[in-house]
Amino acid sequence: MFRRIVHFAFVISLIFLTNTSCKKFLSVRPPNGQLTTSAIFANDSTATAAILGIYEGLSSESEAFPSGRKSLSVLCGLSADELDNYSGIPDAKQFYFNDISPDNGLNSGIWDQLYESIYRCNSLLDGLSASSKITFQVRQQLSGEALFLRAYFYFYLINLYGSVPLSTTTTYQENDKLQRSPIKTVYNYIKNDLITARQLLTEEYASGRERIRANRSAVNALLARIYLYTHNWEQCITSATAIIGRKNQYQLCGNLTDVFLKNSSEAILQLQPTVPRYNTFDAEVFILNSIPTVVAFRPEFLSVFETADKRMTSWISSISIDNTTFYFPYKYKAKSGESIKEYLMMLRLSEQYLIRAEAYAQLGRVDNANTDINTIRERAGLSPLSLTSIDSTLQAIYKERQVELFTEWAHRWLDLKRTCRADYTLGFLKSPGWRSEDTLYPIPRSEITLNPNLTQNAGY
Amino acid sequence: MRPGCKTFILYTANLLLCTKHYGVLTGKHFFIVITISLFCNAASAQHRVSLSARQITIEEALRKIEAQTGYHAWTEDGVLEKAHKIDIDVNNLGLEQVLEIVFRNQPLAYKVIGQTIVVKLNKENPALLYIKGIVVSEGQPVESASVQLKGSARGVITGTKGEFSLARIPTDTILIVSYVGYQTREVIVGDEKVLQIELFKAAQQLDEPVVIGYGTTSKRTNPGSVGILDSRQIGIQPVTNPLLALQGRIPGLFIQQATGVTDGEVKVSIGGQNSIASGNEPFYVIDGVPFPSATLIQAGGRILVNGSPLVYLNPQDIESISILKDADATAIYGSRGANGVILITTKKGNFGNTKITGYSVIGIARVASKMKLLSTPEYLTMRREAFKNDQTEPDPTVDYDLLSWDTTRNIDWQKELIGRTAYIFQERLSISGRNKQTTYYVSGGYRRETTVFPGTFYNSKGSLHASFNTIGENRKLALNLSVNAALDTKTLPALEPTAKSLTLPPNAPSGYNTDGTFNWAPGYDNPNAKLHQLYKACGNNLIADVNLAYNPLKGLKVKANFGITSTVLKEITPVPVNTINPVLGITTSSSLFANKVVRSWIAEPQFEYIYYLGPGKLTLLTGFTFQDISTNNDNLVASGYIDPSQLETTNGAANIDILDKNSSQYRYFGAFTRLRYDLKNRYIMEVTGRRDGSSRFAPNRQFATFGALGFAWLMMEEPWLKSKLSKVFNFAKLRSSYGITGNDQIGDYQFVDTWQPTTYPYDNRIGLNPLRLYNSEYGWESNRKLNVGFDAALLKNRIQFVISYYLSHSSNQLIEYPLSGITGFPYVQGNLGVIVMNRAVEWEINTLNIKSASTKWTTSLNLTIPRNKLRAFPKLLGSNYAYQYIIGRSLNVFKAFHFLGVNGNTGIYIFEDVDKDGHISFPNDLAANKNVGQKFYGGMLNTVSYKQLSMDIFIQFIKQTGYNYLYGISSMPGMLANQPKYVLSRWQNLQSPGDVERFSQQVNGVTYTAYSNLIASDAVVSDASYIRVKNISLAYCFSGRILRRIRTTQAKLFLQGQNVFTISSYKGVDPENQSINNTLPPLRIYIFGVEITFN
Repeated sequence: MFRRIVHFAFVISLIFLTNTSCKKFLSVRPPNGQLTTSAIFANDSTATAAILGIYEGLSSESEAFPSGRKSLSVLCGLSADELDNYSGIPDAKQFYFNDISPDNGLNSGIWDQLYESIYRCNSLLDGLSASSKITFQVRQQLSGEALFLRAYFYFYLINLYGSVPLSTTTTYQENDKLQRSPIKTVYNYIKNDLITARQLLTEEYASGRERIRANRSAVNALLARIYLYTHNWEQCITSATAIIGRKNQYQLCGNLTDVFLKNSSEAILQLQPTVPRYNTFDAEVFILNSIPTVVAFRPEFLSVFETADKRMTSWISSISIDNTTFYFPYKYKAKSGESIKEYLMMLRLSEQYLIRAEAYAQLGRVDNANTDINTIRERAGLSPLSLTSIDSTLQAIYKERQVELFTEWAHRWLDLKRTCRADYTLGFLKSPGWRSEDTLYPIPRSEITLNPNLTQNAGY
Repeated sequence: MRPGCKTFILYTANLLLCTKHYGVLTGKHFFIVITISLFCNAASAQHRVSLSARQITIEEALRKIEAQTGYHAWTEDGVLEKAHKIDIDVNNLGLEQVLEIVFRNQPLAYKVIGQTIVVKLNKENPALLYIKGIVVSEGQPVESASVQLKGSARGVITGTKGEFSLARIPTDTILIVSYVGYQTREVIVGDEKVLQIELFKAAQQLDEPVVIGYGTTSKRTNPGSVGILDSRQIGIQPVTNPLLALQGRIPGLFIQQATGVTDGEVKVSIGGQNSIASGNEPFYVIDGVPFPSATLIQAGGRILVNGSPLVYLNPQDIESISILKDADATAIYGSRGANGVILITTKKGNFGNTKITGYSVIGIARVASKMKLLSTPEYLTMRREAFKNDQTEPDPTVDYDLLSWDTTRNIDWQKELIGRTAYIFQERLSISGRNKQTTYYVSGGYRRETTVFPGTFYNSKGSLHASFNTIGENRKLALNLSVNAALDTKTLPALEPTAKSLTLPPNAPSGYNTDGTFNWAPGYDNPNAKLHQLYKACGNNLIADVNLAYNPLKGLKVKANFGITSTVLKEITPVPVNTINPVLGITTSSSLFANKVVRSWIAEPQFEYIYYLGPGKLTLLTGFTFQDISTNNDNLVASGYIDPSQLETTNGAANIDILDKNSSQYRYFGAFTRLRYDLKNRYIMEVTGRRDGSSRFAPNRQFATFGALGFAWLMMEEPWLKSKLSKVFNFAKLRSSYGITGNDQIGDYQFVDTWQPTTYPYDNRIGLNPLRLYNSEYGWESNRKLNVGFDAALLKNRIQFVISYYLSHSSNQLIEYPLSGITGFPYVQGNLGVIVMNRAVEWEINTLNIKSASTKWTTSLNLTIPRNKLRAFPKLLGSNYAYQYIIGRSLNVFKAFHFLGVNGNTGIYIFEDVDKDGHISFPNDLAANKNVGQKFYGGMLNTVSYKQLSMDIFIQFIKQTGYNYLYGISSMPGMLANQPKYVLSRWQNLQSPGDVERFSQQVNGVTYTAYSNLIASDAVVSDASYIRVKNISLAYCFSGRILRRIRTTQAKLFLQGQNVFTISSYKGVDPENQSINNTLPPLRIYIFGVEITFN
């Protein structure tokens, strides 16, 4: 009898334990208001929402690297020679004095947010490749945008930190242990991504009339910049020309005050503000109504402008308090409370003229360079240049970039570094604190604590 | 065999066997035998036999012997049918010896005559019996009782009707009859062949039933560590949360009442803090149904936080609470057992007469401890001195207390705001009885109490408990049904006034103007207006359980347990506009609404089998669990009410905003087994195993296996020890267990790679972003527990003691595993290699001090010395816990600035400058000089009865460090807020230095900086030890004569007190809930009542 019972119990146990229905029993309904990855990539609509999530993430944060007080425009402007610091926050002072501690929270904020955005691109790309339910066109569009955005973020990572870990998957177990990849490897990776994205995307904006989602021209614009940074002059010219040639779509605004308006003809890619009743956070942080508490222009910076330069009056404003005049960037003019007039510029046409001018100059085609520079100068109300030497042309381009692209996406800081003028320009201005190693920001200390495979930049 | 020969032999055999002692032969018979022997010419001793078989009949055995020896067996017809089967294993043994073995204990006699073995019924020798019997108690059969032959491993289990049978029992055998919860009896088998054995309910503590997971056992034989509190000790405590009744009573169980507000939070830990980030809550099971004990309170303001739905269980309905502590006891709950298990068993009917018991109580409750605060003259001295020190003058727009309020007014705000007397009314009626195969117990209770706050606040609760147990006519099918239902409704202030009562200046004006409106004097935060912001809640709870058992075969039970729980709570927190200070400019009223529903079901098929296997008794239990818990909650705020009378509906609101709306589901599957082997009532071994699956983990990580091994050695059953020690020791048991249990209290869906909608639309559409990293890797936290214990009873059971030692290592901890930013997220929920060790030594001593016909005095004392240590924490520095824990130290370590005292020259607080950089800064100057936790704790219960009077006094004691008053109060002495009297010993000048900083009221001075450092320093931790007379209960039972006169069977008057008296040097309001959030200290409660029972 005992044997019979054991046998009986054994059979019953087997039924329970081997039956897959046990596993089925443990599958529960998903929580309210949240979707799982498989659900996201089950249809075009939610997959599209995933790319919009990345843009929204860049746009909604009032204090993130794209805009606001913790943006690259502010912090790199402090590190370079554009802005004076008025903030009492020690971390901001460190940017200003080029004495950034590896513990600096603003610095780790940039790092973390860039990698967080990269993760979002990676998870979108992973999701798309794992799903077979997305229609062809949508798949092309979303993959192209994600590749573009990821390249955009890596561009800033390598230019701020030097060689950085190249994360291309969502597997945290791997990402957590990544070593730094050589700058060249990262550049090659992002170039390949952009070339792929260029094939995937069309000249149409998925956002219709609004230029708030990446299209083929946005890819070309970033490619042109990357070819410039990697001294690939011919390709650089090709890419820039591809945009400049699309005169039906992109034209320099005749009036400087129109440049940063939403869907301006000069915009290649803009970020749409999302927080209700707020225009750009750049307007919030730069425009002064009283004594500056974050940043204002270095007075010396203004001396770069030629007297006739209309950008001085259109894009810069000032406030006088107690006989002191504070100048501030006034590219974005609409603060909160006003109707949404301005979008945050990510890529615009005039940069492409300047990129192409520099590439021409490097190739010795000084005349072509002059033409491109003068297109920009003309719009600013300045007389045309007719330079003859490569060197003087390059110098003129550098200056033109300084006055055209100031406090936009760290252009000045990156230009000083890539043209090896940082030591010369900042060494004097910021003596005695300046050291050559300051051109790279430190890898956040917590990153090195958590990932022993990471090494610190020299000088930290 | 030839017929002629057969007749002859038969004749001879008859002659031989009819003699009383067939070894003694008379002369005549002897002659015949000799003749035959010679005739046969054989010597049986020379024949050797080998025989090995189990359970063969005598006939078969004889056939084999015939085959080996050539002898013939001769039997009378039908004789062999009377014989029993035998087990035999002999090798090359002489025939005589073999036959001796074959016929041992058989009702047969044999004789070898020549080459013939003659077998005949042994009419003269009744030594071997076949007995039948039944085991009963109070007229009812006792099923599954164990009937064992003393000095042998033979035994049987009684069937459903209590019946048993034993064959081949020699006379004068002693049977040991035992069953959990009953006194073990030894019965001498006399001549009677049908026994009726009566068992009596255990009088000895050692044999009382102890409820364990999926069964019962007794203290005597349990190899596990289980604490138990019975209905008597629960019933004499005037508490509403059954957990509070356990306070101090069970070694290893630490309970802290976080607030004196009824139904507020009670913190429970069994065996210390095991988990860093996941839950440390024990697993609660009520009548076999796991009870989701997480709080339902969402909008409870600050008055009810984390209150457990366990308060819906009326303590008077509880029969016993078992606290399962070690791996042996908890491993059967597998993944949910790591933090211990609390089993609550409700009352059931018994086979006595129908009884009706009425219970009626009135009582009062008041705040038991208050803090000594500054009186108005002292307060004003402090304020004025502060201004003098700061070299400034009071500002008429800020310092109203000095410049506009009445400086002669002296109010004790503790008395005003928390000083009322709360009244308690409690009624309960229970009926229990029987009807043939059915017993029932039904009770209904109602309790209403008011609060110590000024205002018409109340908390009322109605509860219903019903239990039906029925057994089928043939006793093969049994059904148990138990239902616990409760409804409650309460109206309380939304905000606790305790903090306010400690900080309002003693000369603050009255809350009301003379016309009865609220006083909105400038600078006055009117506490009475706040008390008109109400918290209203009504809830209900249902726990129902059906248990079916079927006995298809003797010893086998097929059982199924089905249970449901449903708990619903609706909360409304209306904020009428007239209770808001008009200067804030709010013109409309608002109201908060919250609903939460938790429903669960469980199904547990089980098999239980008891069997005598080899030399011992085997008990096998195996079963499966299917469980589902669904939670739904919503929480919304309705605002813009014009008419405050509509605040309890959303109808009159202009805006309704959803704050939170969630639903979640949890599913659980487990298969468990427990194998117990009981050898000679002396060695007991238990193997428990469980395989568990939980929906909280990713599909490939859902399942895990847990298990434990337990061993008990009942030493006094060893004859060699018994002979030496039995004069002193009545009982001694050495027990040990080791096993692994798990913890899945991590919240639902944590592994799922969910995406959440973005806050705002982009390109006119809402986007989606990943909420967390996809993490399929994390699994169960596991806890390895070792427990060793020694239990003994000595001096005729007058002294019983238990010493236990446990050691647990909680590993594989689920915490937020810090990741490098490259991964896109700062953390992932993961099993980091954190190891937390807990160990403790526990003592428990029960003594019977006096026992006479009229007087009885017993004492029980328990003591626990816990230790806790963080053994390993990889990546501690990169984690959220970097400034909280230290590897190698207790989790209770308190990292803070190290307070050194007051600088005698400046009157400013000074701290240790750990990094020697000249100033005190976070985190570099953090030191770890103190712990917040218990060094030891325990309790002592004395129960004295004299004739009809009985008294229980329970004293709780704790040696600990805790947060003092500085932890909760954030105003610097000198500012516009009252302070405890301690601050009077402040620094005044070089001559009177004092131990409190000089008074100041400036926010931006060195004094304030030092004060800010003080409240971030280890000065907020100090001794919080206390000895508390937790409970006194006095009862008088009326004697029989009076009872007859009032026609009752039992009548009892009683007086009970809770938190009666405390000795402590604690600096703060109450050392138990300490100053955490400045909640109401536990109340001192006295109740007076009567209990009458009618038959």
